[in-house]
Amino acid sequence: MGSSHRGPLTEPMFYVLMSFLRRDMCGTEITEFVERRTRGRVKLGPGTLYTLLGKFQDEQLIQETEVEGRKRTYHITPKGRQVFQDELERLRACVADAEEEGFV
Amino acid sequence: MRHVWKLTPVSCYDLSGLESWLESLAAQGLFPKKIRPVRSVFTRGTPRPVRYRIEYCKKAGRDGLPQDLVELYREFGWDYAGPLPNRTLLLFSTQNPQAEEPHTDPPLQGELLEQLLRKLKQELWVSAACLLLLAVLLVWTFRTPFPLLYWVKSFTPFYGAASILFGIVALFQQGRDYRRLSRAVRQLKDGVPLPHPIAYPRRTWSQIIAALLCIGLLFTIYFHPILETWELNFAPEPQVEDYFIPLSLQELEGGSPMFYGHTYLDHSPLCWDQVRVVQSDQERRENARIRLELSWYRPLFPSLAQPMARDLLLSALPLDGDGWWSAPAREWDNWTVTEYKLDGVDWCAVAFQPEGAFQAAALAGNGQAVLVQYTGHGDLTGHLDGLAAMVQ
Repeated sequence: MGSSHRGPLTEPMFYVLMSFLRRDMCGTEITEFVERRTRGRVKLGPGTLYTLLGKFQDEQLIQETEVEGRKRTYHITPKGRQVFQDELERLRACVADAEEEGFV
Repeated sequence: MRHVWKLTPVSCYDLSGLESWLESLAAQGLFPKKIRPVRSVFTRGTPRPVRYRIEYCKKAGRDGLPQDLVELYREFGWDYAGPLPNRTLLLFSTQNPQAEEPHTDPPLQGELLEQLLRKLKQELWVSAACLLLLAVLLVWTFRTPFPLLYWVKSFTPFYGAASILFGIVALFQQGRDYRRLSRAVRQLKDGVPLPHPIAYPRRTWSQIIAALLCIGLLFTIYFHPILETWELNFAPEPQVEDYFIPLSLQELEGGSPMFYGHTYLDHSPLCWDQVRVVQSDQERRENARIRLELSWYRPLFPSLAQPMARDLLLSALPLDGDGWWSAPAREWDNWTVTEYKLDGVDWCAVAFQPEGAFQAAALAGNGQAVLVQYTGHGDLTGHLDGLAAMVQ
């Protein structure tokens, strides 16, 4: 699943990457963060979360920092920050385009 | 605990179909214990609404059950309910209506299932290659000098043909699984989640045919050697008169010397009744061994008897100077073959070597074929009535 060419992030991908920006997090903390941040609009199921964490690790966007029993904690890498930043720029550009057209 | 088994009506690659089937059974109080491609086992319990979801996990096939995945699902209210026949597909269930759906990002799920699709595609190519190889091997059997005899007398081509038939049906099913999964992946990548529940398809004919072929093939593979061993070791020697009236060495040689005889039965799917009678004198006279061998067949399709008889005669002509009825092809020309019209017989021909001691005859009639191989002092052409009686 690791791909060097990446398109736009889906919402769950975007918020999962965002969750690591302030501190390292484990699975349940990520879910709580996304739920809180989006006020329940974006939901993360276990299948999605597991797949995303595996995919981000494969793409070296995050790395595992700690395994405590069954709890695994992850840390965002510089590449992960860059991907998040790129997506943010893309979204800003989208909003700016809409503003220029007078829709916002 | 009481177990109930049911025929599995959907393929494990039809994720929504299988999940919907399991949910409808849970509503009837049946909970999966083992999911198998043909037959699944359930335990009986109190009917209740249960949601089932299938998760693809590549690691599961390689390293066994991934505990971190199971644990994560548990934290979200989903319990592991066992593997599917394909070990990379894991079944989870929940009775909690509030439990979040496992996959909330359809394109990501599509990306995940694309890996399964690639695996399925590889399997499809491997199956197609195996089938092609098997077909080539089977076609190769037609390169034998007498393919009809090979097909009618032996079990081997039957195994080959049945395996190919099974392979074709299985390949058809694999292709259908691939197309179905491919559709699901496209739908997910377009951002549309898999629908739940769906009207799962009922068992299709191809699945039933594949299962029956597989069972039939396995049964035959096991049954045939057992039958042969039993007939060889335990069954009384068959009475040749139950099948046909044999020509005897005594009739051909005249007088009343001591002759020894044995009768052998054989079977094949296209010719269940095959009888071989061997009579000999156990001593040499004038450097020629006295021996009569009768090979009698009643093929499944009576129309095969005549072409069989022709092939039987041709196959008997090659001789070996040291032994019996096999020899280099150059010896074939030494034979004189004469055809005879006999009452009640579809075809009859007698072959002899002007300078040799060998004689052969083949006849077809009433859906039966017989080959006579003889060395001795008599003359087969002088016993045409006796020959004809074997196929009347």
